[in-house]
Amino acid sequence: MTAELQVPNELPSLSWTLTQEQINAYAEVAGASDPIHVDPEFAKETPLGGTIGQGFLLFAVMAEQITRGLDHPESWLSDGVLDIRFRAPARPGDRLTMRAVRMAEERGPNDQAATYEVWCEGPDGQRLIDGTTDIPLGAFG
Amino acid sequence: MSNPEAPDLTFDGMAVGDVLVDSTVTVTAESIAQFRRSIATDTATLDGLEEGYAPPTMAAMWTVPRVMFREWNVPVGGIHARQRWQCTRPIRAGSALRVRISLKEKYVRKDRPWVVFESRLSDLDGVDVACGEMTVVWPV
Repeated sequence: MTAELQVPNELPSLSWTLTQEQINAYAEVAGASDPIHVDPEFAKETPLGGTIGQGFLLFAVMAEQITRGLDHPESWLSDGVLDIRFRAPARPGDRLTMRAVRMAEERGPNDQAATYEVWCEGPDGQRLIDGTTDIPLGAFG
Repeated sequence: MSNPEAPDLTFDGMAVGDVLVDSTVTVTAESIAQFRRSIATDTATLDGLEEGYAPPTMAAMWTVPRVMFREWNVPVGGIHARQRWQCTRPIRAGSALRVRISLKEKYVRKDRPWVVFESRLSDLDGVDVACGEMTVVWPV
C-alpha cells in the first residue's frame, strides 16, 4: 500500500521567531499564566534566567505544521499520534525550526501509518524538542 | 491563571487513578480563531484556513489547561517533560466536549516528583475525540 502512495520523505519544515507576544497570547487563550512564561522580571531571577515558551504552545505549532503539510489532513485529525519530549527551553527571540523526516523503519502500530521523526531546533541547531508522529497513509493520497 | 479559590493541587494530595477533572466545554468558532491566532507563526498562516476544523491539538492545548486551571489551584514552576496526543475525531466549531483528566502515574526520580496526567475527550454521545498524556516534573 505504501508503494502506491506518494508518501514524502520529509514534510514541509517551518522556521519562525518565537516572541514574547506569542507566548503572552497563548497564555491568555489557554488561561494559564505561569510567570516563568509571562513575567520577565520573575523569570530573570529563576535558574532559567528569563521567560520560556510553553511546551503546549510549541506542541500545538508542531501539530499545526504537520496538518498543513498533508494532502488530506482530516485523516490525521481522525487518527494521528504525536509523541514528543521537551529537552531544552525555547526562549523569546529564538529562531526555531521544526522538521518531520520519515523514519527508515516504520514503528507505527500497523502498515496503515507512516512514522516520522519530528523535532524542533533552536538557533544553534540544538534539539529543543524531539519525538515521533504516526500519520495515517490516507493523509497522503 | 490558576483559580486561587479552588483547592490546591499537590503532589502528596494526588493518588493514581484520581479523576481530577470531569467537565464539559464547548468549542466555538471564536475560540478556534483565538487559538489559531495564538499559535500562528506568521500572518500568512491565518489566510485560507480550513474553516470548520479546529487545530488538531486544540482539545489538549485549549480545553485541558482551561478546565485544569479553573478547577484547581495549580502551583507554578512545573516542567513539561513529555506530551503524547492522539486524535480520533476532528473537532468542529460548536462541538461540546466532555473532558476528563486523571492521574495515571506518580513517582519520584532523582529526588524529583513526577506525575503523568491522562486526558480523555469525548463528545456528549460518549464517542472518543482525543486522548493524551502529559508528563510533568511537579514543582516543589
